[in-house]
Amino acid sequence: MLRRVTFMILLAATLASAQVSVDRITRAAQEPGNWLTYSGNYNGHRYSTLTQITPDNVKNLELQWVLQVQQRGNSDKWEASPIVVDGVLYTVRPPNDVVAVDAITGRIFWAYNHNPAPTARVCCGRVNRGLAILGNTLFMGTIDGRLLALNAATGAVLWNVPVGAPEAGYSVTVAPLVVKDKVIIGPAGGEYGIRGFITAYSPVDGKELWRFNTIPSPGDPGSETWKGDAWKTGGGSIWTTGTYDPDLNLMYWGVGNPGPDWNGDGRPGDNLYTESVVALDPDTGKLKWHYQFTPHDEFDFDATQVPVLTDIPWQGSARKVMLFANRNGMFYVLDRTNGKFLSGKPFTRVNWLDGFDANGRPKRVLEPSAAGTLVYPNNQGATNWYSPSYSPRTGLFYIPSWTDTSSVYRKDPGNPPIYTEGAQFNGIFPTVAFGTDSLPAMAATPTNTRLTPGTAGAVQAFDPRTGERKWSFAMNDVTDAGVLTTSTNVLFSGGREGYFYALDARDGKLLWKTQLGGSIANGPISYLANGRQYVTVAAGNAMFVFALRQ
Amino acid sequence: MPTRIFALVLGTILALGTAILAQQHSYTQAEIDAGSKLYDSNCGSCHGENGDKIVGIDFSKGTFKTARTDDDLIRIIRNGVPNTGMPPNPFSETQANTIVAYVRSMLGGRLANTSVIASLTGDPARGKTLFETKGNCVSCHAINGAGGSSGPDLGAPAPAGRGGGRGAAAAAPLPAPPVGGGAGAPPAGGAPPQGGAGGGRGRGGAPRGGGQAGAPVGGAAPPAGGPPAAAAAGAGGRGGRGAPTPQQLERSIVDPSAEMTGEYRVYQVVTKSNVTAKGTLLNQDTFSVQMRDTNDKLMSYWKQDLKEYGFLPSPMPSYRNVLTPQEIADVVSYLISLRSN
Repeated sequence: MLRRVTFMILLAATLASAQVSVDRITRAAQEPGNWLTYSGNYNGHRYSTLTQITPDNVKNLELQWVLQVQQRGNSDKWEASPIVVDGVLYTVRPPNDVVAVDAITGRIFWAYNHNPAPTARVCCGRVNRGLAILGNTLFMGTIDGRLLALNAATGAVLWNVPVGAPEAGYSVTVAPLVVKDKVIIGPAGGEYGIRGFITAYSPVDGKELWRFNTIPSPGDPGSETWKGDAWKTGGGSIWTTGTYDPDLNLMYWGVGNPGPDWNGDGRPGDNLYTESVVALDPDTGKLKWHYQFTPHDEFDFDATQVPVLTDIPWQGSARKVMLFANRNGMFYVLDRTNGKFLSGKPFTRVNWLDGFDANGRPKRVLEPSAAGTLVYPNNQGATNWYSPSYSPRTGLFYIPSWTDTSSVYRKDPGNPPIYTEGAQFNGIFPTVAFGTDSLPAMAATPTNTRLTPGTAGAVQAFDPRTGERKWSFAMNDVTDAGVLTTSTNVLFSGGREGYFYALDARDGKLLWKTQLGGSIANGPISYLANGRQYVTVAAGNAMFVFALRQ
Repeated sequence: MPTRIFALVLGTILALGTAILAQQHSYTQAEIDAGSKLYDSNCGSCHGENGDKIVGIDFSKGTFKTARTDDDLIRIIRNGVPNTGMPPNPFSETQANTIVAYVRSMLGGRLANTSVIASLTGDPARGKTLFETKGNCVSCHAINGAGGSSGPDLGAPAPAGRGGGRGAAAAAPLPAPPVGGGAGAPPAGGAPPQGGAGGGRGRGGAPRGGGQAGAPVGGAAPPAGGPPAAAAAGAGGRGGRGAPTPQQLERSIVDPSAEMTGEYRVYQVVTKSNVTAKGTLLNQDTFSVQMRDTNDKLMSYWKQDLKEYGFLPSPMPSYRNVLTPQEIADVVSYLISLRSN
């Protein structure tokens, strides 16, 4: 009996130490020392209220530790954004190796290496964007189309369920989003003619709880925007983590391109819900509203950016809005209660549309052609999956951008690509050279001798209330780095050149920089351990962690 | 139907594929000795003295990544494995064969040859009685859930992959050699690493926990000095890591601390402010240690903040002078029979 009582006490102690409750995630802003979700909070702000690092002392940052990758192929990038819980940092080394690390020393507690099935196929690198956590369980999608749950204390696999068939091009690269008692993800694979979805799984056993098809079934609302069987290979992939408004009980996900990418002749119509942001009830998966940024897209613009949620004054009264810097070059402000279009303004050079109609539908003026059509922005987009940041302190929205880039789109009119399962389903790949407007450093070369002016990467700051560009920090090369801001007005970002730098969030002035020797393709985060503030970012083959010199 | 049987057999083979390698031949002591010399000068620097330094490979447990047969091993020794750290080696087939002989002899550890029961035949039924009566093993070890819980359950192993996961389940703590000379031994030297770390910096005193959970430690240590414990501590545990050999089981019974797997070795730290924490050692280096405490909390300490750290001896007593060799053989036989059932 005594033994049984002891056991019960032990069990209670274990449950009491359960790491991350739903309540903690929802109130993440109250514990800025931790980083509990992909974007740091449900709003998608990637904003830290830690105050030790300031514009005055950021120059005193020094390297504390480095975490190297163990295995990678040539196309693997470190895109994961870490989770930090009470002094333990969890992240994913490419492609799908989970590691638990002491946040102060960088020493490994445990590592779990998932060997993806050889049938896995990905368009754009064997990458993973991170983990989610609930209780003592970590969740990871894999490039062979699975969702895994791991014991956060031991790394042991608790369950492992299929999400989509890897041989048909389904992969999972997105960091899952935990909302209440559900783990929510969707598949990448828009270049393989998948039919996308957003699915909720039980954190207990991986059981599917609901599914929202991003390409509606015949007869369902939205199916009228498809013809024939095109919906079966319609794309609509999910590869950037969504956001959630607990008060409205709505979560928001950006949806990827229609398939095939660059020739829409076989899929006439608007092709919902590709290129859209969808607002779903997390309890049921039911669609509350949608807004389509690029109807009948033929430029592979995707709408896979982080939907950023904030409340701002709008024409004289407070409004719950969504800020969405889209890959198509437009910065949108939507009413997130109902999806109403409030504004859409270019944040870089854009020529594919001529304004909007009264309902916020873009007036598209270009399409691919046999001779080639020059389109701004380029095929990689004016921004992409890498995170923007919103600072409630400055009220500014920070967009990692590719400025003044273009691609030439060609198609064989009337002859769209034929679908074959497991093969890419795209059309003619856009060329990047047209006159002097060639894209900078598309190929990863050790040197950069490009002299083209204008085309570059930048971090741009916009006032969402007016759409006014407040400042821009230009780089010589383009960027795949996300942005982190702090309540002390420090902004961290980087780019393909390998610089990790700090700017003054108010004016874009460079405060500090260091060269990490490899491209930065993920968003920085900040956390507190033993009372000390750290900032971390991955570059090339490693993750680097900085703190103020002591 | 034949197809189905074939599929079942094939599935079984595949399921066992990465675990235990079947020995094809018997080897002479001369072959083993010759292989030992070649191993020490050519293989040990990477594979380690006990053959367990490469992740996914453990000669002491018969665990290999791809090899299925001794012939596979000879081929790998001579040709290497492309795109890995395993290089080709200029050995004749005969030389490679001696290395295989030595690698095979490592099963159960280098002390496997010290067995006192190797020539004895155990009786599982007698062993079961001893387990439950004279040895009182059951007071600490359960068999499939029935019995004590302070030691590992010695019944059937857990399903492979610890949860039915696919892919290469490899949630393995890093190699964890003993440190500090056991409990009570102060860290050598004690010179503060990382200059300037005094006073409030570092992690002296209570273990940190980000201020969230209060970091309770040490409250749930396995009982020590309780009723006599017995049988295979650790090596027979339910880890899904392959069945223990008779030699491992014997050693666990006569020398429990030496044979305990890391999973069941209790690691203890005592901070300079006299906070004690116990758990499983996960990792360590010159300056720090990482462990999972008895509340499943991941903890890290600077050694400079500790006055003691190291493994506690096994709470299980040695049965060297309690059971006769024949009785040990009986218990071992019983434990093996649990797995084969």
